[in-house]
Amino acid sequence: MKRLQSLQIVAWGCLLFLGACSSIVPHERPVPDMEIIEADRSEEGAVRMTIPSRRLEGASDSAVDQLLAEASAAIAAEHYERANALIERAVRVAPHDARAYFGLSQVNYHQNRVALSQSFLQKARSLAVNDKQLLMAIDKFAERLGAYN
Amino acid sequence: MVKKVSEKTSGKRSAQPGAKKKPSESGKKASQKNISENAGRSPLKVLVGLLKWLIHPLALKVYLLLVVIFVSYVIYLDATIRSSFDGKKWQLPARVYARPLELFNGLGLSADELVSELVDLGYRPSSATQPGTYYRSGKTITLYSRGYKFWDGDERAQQAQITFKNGRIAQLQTLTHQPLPLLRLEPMEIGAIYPRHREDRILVKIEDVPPLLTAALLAVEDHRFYQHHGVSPAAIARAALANARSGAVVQGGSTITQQLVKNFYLDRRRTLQRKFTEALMSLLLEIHYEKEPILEAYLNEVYLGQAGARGIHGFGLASQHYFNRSLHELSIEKLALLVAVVRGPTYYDPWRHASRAIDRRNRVLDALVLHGLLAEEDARWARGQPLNLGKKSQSHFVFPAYMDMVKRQLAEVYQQQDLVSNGLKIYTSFDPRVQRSAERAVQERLAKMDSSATALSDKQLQAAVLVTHPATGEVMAIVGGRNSRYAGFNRALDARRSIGSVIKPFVYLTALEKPEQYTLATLIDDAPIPIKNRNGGVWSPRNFDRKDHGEVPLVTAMAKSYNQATARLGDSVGLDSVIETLKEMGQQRELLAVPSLFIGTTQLAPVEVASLYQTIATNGFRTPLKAIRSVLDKDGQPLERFPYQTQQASSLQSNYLIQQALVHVGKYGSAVAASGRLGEGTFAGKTGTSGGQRDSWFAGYTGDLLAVVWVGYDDNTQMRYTGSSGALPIWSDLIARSSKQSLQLLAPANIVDVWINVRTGQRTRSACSNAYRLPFIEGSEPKGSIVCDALKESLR
Repeated sequence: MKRLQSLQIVAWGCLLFLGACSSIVPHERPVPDMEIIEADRSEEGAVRMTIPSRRLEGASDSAVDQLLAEASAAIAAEHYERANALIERAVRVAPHDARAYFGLSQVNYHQNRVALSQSFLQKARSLAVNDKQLLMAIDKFAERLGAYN
Repeated sequence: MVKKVSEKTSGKRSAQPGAKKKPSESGKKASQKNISENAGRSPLKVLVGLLKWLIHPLALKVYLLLVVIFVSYVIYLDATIRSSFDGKKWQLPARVYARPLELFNGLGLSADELVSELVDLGYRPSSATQPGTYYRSGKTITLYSRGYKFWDGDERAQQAQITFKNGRIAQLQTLTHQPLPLLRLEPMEIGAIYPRHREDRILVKIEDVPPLLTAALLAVEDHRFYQHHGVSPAAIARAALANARSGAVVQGGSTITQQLVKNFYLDRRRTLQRKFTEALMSLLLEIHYEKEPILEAYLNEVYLGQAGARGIHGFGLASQHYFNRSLHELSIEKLALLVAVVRGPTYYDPWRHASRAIDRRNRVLDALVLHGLLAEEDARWARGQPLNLGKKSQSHFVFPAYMDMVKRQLAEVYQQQDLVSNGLKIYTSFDPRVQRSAERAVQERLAKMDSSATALSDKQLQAAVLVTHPATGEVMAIVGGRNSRYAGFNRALDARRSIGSVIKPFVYLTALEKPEQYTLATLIDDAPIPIKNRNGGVWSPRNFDRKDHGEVPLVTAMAKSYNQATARLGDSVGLDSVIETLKEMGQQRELLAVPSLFIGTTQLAPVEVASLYQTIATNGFRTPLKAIRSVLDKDGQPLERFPYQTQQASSLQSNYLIQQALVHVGKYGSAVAASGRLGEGTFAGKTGTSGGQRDSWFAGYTGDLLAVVWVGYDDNTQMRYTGSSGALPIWSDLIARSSKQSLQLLAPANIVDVWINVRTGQRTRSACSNAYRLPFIEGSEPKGSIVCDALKESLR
């Protein structure tokens, strides 16, 4: 149980603090202009991070962010089916957002669907190809899962 | 002897109860004595004799028996009432809903499309100050959503302002200009699965019913409802008098309770026995239950109209049926109309007999005024209103092909009885806009093909379309034939036809999974090739144009759909390997292992082809197609969810290469005609034409839609059309109207781009002729020196 909780904390921490910068850059396309936004404020000061100003599918960042935040709360409350449904909505809004698949991986892990969790993790990894921070988070989660064994 | 005497004395008396019964010996003598004595006695003595007979011990036994029978009957009726009134009262159909439209910044949606969606949902144009209304001003729409209970939570009713730009939502905000990340509209009902009797209703709770509705109902139908005990002798007497005066049945004396009992428990025969039972059951019902549950049951039970074979029962559904909105959204005159219809849904059918319905409605309004429930001024206004009926519901049974798929998926989880009685709510991924685009594309294109002078047959061509979301595998639309309203043979799911070259990407993918042997630039000989069958025969395919093209790079062979090169490639990688690839990519049925499979003699249904292409579109992750997202019970409690599933089926890199090859089909190959309309590089796909031109296929996808189109004759005869000239135009029409997002492929890790001469497969420079930039899995790119025979024409 403790292992599960620590996984959850690590994963969602990574997802929310780092995952937002899932820069999905199309092959052969210039990297879009970046804008700096304030993402979170810690005691030490503002944590600043970058996200692409225009996503590949033109979807609303805030829509996906809201759904993932709600999903995070649902996971914390152990309402996994609800979390799953919320993240699926995020996938529909932004089908190429690696964070959503990372979220599905975690929810399915909590629901003891380990094979499916690993599949979503692979999917997340394939989409986060240009987002090193998110890739690190994914790999960390994968290491714990033994996904790449 | 007894009979003889009584006949002589009183004629018909023999018909009286007890006259035929055989008395005991002592009783017999007494009776004979009394009767024979009565013959010559005074009426007083006769009466006394009769009384003696009535209190005779035998008669008392008969009375007792009758009482026992009556009490048993009452107990039976009582049990009947309680068992059905306490438990589930009605068989409720399962309702099927489309996807809810989610609004957010950047969504590809025009103002016109949103208005169309709102109209379908029964929203009405006004000042957007009440739920279910909207206001449009140019490119801005203000709406007041209704709110809805979804699986993942409640969506509250809220006001929002949506601004559009270039066919997308540019800004979504509250009326106080606060950004609104998301707004989800309620889903449109697209069909239902009915019990055999085809009664339909939407249950309402009495506390949710507008008080004016119940007031009007009671004022007109039973104004002493709260005073009587189920039966109103005064009302019966009044009705009898009125009927006697007119010589016909002009007035009923039934209370609301009696009407409920009649509808709920009894048949419609007009017999004394039925009336007696009805009265008895009404009394029993009122003994056991308060007035409110009885009234609530009536509000849900009463028959209020007909929609085809479907009976409209209860005010909840009647409100939707007549006005396309819920009860609490109805104004006075509309509520009055619903009450007016109670008296005779056919006679007062507002669509067919508008003036009758208005007269009756106004009488309801009069009754409200008479009972002091409505001010005369309000009633006057209401009387002056037209009927303002909603659009006659077209949503039921109009998407039979999609409903077919929903039922098949449900059958895997639910019993038929659950589906027709428990009021399940089934939420699907059906997209009405995409569905209509698909239907329109089929109808328009087939009409053109029919009228073509070059058509070989006077029979009608058929078509099938299945549309999914390329990322999730959710089925968005299905057209099962050219008559999309006809619930017959569903070609999209059941027509297994030769798929022609649509199969080729899987042959090439099998090769590309071996990057050390095959790349997109690998040259393949397109010369004739004889291949031995497993039965010893020889199969030798020919190209569609009957020409040989020599050595061509793999990407060109696929884009141009060369049969000879593909067969050679398939033969090299092996038939079993190709079949294994097809299985990995989603093919579930066993396939006939013959070499002609390489060029598509394999027979698949459009849904199977979609399943295979889905895996390519999702970057090599097999994602089962599904139509249903979730199922809730009648109270909105979650029952079942059909979660998104996926499994990696091919390597990211080889899948990326095959996707690029499919883009080339549109850029330079057999689907180039669609590029002119949709834009070069905006889609990936493959044409297919079966041997003898019996089937025309196109399977392709953009960033937000994957569609498979089949065209052909049901009897499998030859037609004039190829994949490019038959299915592709339908696909292009559909995509042009519905797709909001071009294909944008993401290169996975370990992919490098190299300029290649597509004639020779050698490295070249971008400025050279026949130079195309092709992706390679790192390490597999051609290593030779750069060769540039000539500059591109544009650079010369």
